[in-house]
Amino acid sequence: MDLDDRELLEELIIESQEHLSAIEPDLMALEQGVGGEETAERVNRIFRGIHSIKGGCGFLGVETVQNLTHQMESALMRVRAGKLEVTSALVDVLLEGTDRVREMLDDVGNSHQVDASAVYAALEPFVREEAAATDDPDAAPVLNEPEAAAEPEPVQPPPDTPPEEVAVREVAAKTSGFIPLQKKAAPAVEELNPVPAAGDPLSPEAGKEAGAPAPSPVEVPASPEPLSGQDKAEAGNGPVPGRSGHSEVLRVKVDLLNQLMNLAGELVLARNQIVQSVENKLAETPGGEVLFTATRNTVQDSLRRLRAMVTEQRQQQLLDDEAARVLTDQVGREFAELQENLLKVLPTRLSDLAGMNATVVNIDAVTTNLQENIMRTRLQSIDAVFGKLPRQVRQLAKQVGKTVNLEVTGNEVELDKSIIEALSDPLTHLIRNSLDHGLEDPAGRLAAGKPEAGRLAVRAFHESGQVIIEIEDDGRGINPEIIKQKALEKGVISESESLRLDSRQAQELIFAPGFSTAEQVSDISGRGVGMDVVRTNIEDLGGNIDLDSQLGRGTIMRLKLPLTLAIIPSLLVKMEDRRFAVPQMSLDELVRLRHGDTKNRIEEVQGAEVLRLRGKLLPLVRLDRVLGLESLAAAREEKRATHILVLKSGNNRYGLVVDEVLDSEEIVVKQLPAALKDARCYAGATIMGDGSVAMILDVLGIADFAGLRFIESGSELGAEHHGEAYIERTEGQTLLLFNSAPGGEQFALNLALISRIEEIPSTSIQQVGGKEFLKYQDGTLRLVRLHDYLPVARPDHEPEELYVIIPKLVRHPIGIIAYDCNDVITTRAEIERNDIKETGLLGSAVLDGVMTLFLDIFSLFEMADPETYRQESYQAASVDGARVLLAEDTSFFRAVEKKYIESLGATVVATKDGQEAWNLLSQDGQHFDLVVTDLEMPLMDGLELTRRIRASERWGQVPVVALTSLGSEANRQTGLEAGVTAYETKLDKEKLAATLRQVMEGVCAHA
Amino acid sequence: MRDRQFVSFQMGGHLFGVDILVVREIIRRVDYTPVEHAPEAVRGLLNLRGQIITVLDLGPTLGLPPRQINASSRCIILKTEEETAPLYEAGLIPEKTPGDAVGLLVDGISDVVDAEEGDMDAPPANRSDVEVEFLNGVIKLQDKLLLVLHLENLVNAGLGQAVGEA
Repeated sequence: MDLDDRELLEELIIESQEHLSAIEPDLMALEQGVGGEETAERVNRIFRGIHSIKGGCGFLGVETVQNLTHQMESALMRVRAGKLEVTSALVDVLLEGTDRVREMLDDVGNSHQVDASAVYAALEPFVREEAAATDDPDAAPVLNEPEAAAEPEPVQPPPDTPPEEVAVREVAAKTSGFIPLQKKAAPAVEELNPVPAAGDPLSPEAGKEAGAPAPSPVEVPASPEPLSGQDKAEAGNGPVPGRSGHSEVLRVKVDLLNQLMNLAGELVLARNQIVQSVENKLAETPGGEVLFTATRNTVQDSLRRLRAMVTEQRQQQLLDDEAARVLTDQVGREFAELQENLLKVLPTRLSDLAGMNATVVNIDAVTTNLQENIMRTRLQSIDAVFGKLPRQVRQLAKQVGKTVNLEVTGNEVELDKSIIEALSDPLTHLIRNSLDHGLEDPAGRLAAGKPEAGRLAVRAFHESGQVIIEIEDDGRGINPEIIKQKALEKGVISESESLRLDSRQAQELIFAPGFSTAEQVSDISGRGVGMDVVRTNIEDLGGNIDLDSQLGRGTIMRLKLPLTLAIIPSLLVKMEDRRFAVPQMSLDELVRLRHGDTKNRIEEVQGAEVLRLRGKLLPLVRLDRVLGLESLAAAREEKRATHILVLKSGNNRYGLVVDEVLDSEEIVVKQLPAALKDARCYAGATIMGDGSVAMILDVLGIADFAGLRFIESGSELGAEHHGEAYIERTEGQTLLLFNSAPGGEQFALNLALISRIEEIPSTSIQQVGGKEFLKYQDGTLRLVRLHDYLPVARPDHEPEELYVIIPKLVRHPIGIIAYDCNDVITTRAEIERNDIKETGLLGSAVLDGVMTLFLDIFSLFEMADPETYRQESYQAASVDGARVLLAEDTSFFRAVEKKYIESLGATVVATKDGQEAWNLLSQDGQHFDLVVTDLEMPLMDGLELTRRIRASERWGQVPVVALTSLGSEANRQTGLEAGVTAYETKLDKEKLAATLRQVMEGVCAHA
Repeated sequence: MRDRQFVSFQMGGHLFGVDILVVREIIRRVDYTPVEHAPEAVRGLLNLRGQIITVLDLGPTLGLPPRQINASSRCIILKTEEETAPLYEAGLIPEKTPGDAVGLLVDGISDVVDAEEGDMDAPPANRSDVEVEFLNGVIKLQDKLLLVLHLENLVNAGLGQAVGEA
């Protein structure tokens, strides 16, 4: 088959597919049965579509399609003639027929392998009286397009009648546009149809030999549309005239478009190069001019080719709509201007950078504009996928015996062609899931108090440069408990993991590999393709998927997709002097660790590095190790800083350690050569502004390569490895770490005690009476320097900028001056009391290798401002001498609370949880006047402890003060019911003292 | 007898040749970006006017030491399979070129050698330093032997694909 014929056939197939797509919604609408003129017009449209397919396929000898469409047409003719009612059964069989036709067209060469016997059989009753029919489509008023004139009697000859020569010749004569194509059509038929070439009715030879066996009615073309290469403009107006909403059908060859894209890409590069050369002021170096000239030539070259390309398309009338004109005009005008500007600037030998800048701005704007325009030509409306939904849903609903109301919105939203193509399967799968698992059956829905018909909404819309697709059902929702159970059974998660998953995390398990919720493998969704495949597919498109499901209320699946895959925003990073691009889409955040922090924040868990990030453990991957680059600079042990890109792939996140973070830049994605297809760490390559190649990293591939294994929830990673379930449940404390002098001791202060941290110029500190003050808000704030009260290093000079830590939970705040704030960490470290016995300090702990002093701001402030703070201590005199049992799991709080209560004159026995406290209370010979307990504790919590105390004869009357970090009312109520005497907030020393005093006085009063 | 022209170049002290019909251009720039996790012969990627070129060092595949980059290093850019398909179908070249644009890293370029079909001898089986399957034949020049490469076999071997596959 020569090229032209192949093109002809391709054209035919594309057109026929378009017809099919147009027919389906009409068929389904027909079933809804509006009646009247609208229905008649629908039937006509369907008929015309089928008829055109039949004609085209007949012309090119695709007999399988021709025969089937003939049969369908016959049924439709009867409908038109009012001899046949439109029934659901008829619609079914016609839809079935369009399916078979589609299959045949998908692989025309093997179309005879498509088994359409069922359709034929089902159509039989609808066409039985066909022989008697006198319908003639030509007579129908609907076929009033110009080409109808060329249309011969479409159907009639019985199978054994030879085709009518006359009609054939007439056609040839009438439609002169056909003539040049006649010869070319012949070989096409040979290839398509190994059976005798009866399908070549237009060639005179065929006419003569027309006696050759024709196994089925042979038909001459119904319409010149699929054939006339010269007539594209008309075809562009839509294959089915009169169909609304599809006025701009653009038929551009994909590879041509790809070339345009590449050229636009080159322009983007050229622009980047110019931008860079200006930035580098290359004019000052001798080579600058040469480079500039070269760049200019590149731009001009690209331009020339781009213009040629567009002109060529214009000539071929492939781009026949507004876009082509806009494109050509724009390219012509703006680039002429650009060229002129470039030439103007060149003679000035680049000394005039201002002029150059204008050019750069210009080139920048033009390139961006052009790029967007060309990109737009690749965009297709999502209707290509959404249009199929009503059909699919109808069929599926029937199969599963459910009633569904489908709402589709956003059909006009546009996406890159390649994304749309790849979207079909995952979307179908999600819809199937919703229908099969999501929606209840009618009885179940009524029982749940919902309308009998389920609701399925599919929406597409734009959001911050991305396209969002939502699939929402009002079904039963995803039951996290069942999911967990299934996941356990299938070994997707372990017992301990299942305990830690919250309901949302459990729901996310449906995306885990090896998980499928189908009770049994059903026809609809249990096809061995799990949701993990859906997720992978979506991620391959550079998108992601998440779900929002409420039990009994329904589920929303949300897909986020990029508009295009060709040009993406990315972040450039550097590793070992190599540059790499990371798609912004996968980037969550950037973390920069200073040298000192690296040790603190990065821990090793079973040989794998993890980063502590806001209390969670993030697995780390070192890019140099993944790529085997480390040997290049083994000596580079101590680096200035560590940059960590927090990357997300699905719901998992990991940190990628790189040397340097450079700019963010829009990059043109170039496909990897086949030689690198096995290198899964790369998603592609791109060209930088300086012309060098940089690899685009594949976020998923790297995680894979590095052997990262995520618990699907992706959150509490390390805990599992630690096997520290106990510690996991104790509260951590969040600490601010700071220095009061460069290189001096590291201090820690609980974040709960800090109101604000202000950065101030040191000159704003005022001296009054030997004390330092800062104008703060409406008043003045007393400041203290730690080295004035504690035996710690003092700075040798006053820096320009200082930090002031302003505490809270104290009545008279005093600002603490810090030289530098290092970090905020969450830790469960134990405070050592023994080695440091200074007033103003609670104790010390080694935090990731650094000795850290914990401040006791209350005793510190007592030293700094004895008058104000001493008085308050006396107020708690009634607690003096009391014996207090303290239960607190967090060692820091335990130390602080013990110290507070002791400062009131009481004796404190501290225990680390309710169990230990209860054990102590159960021992003989113990005496306590008061129990102070935390509520949240492992083994036995404060409520349980209180209940046991109240239930015991011996301790029933002892007052219990409960401490909470958050004074929530609900907690308070449960606590009071359990028998708690009073509540107080942790760390508020003054209030705690007051409460303890009240409680003790109350005891005294009762006694 | 058809005249053929060969681009001759040095690698590891040998003189090799490829048919001039498969050569798109020869460039001086060898500033490729190295790529890890790539097959043995792949040194990296190079930007040639917006097109990504896979830079191959076929030395190790031929049993020669890897190329050292110096002033005389050159990169021979081959036409792609698509570009050479008409030549191949017309029988003008005996083998297909790779589907992607590749550049061969060589130590230096020598003359273009004119030869008639008959000048080329079958590769001698006793040359142990270069495997016979990587050669189309040899051409005796005045003082040297020009080893004409079987590019398809050689590139496939360098990229880790089985020789004779497809």
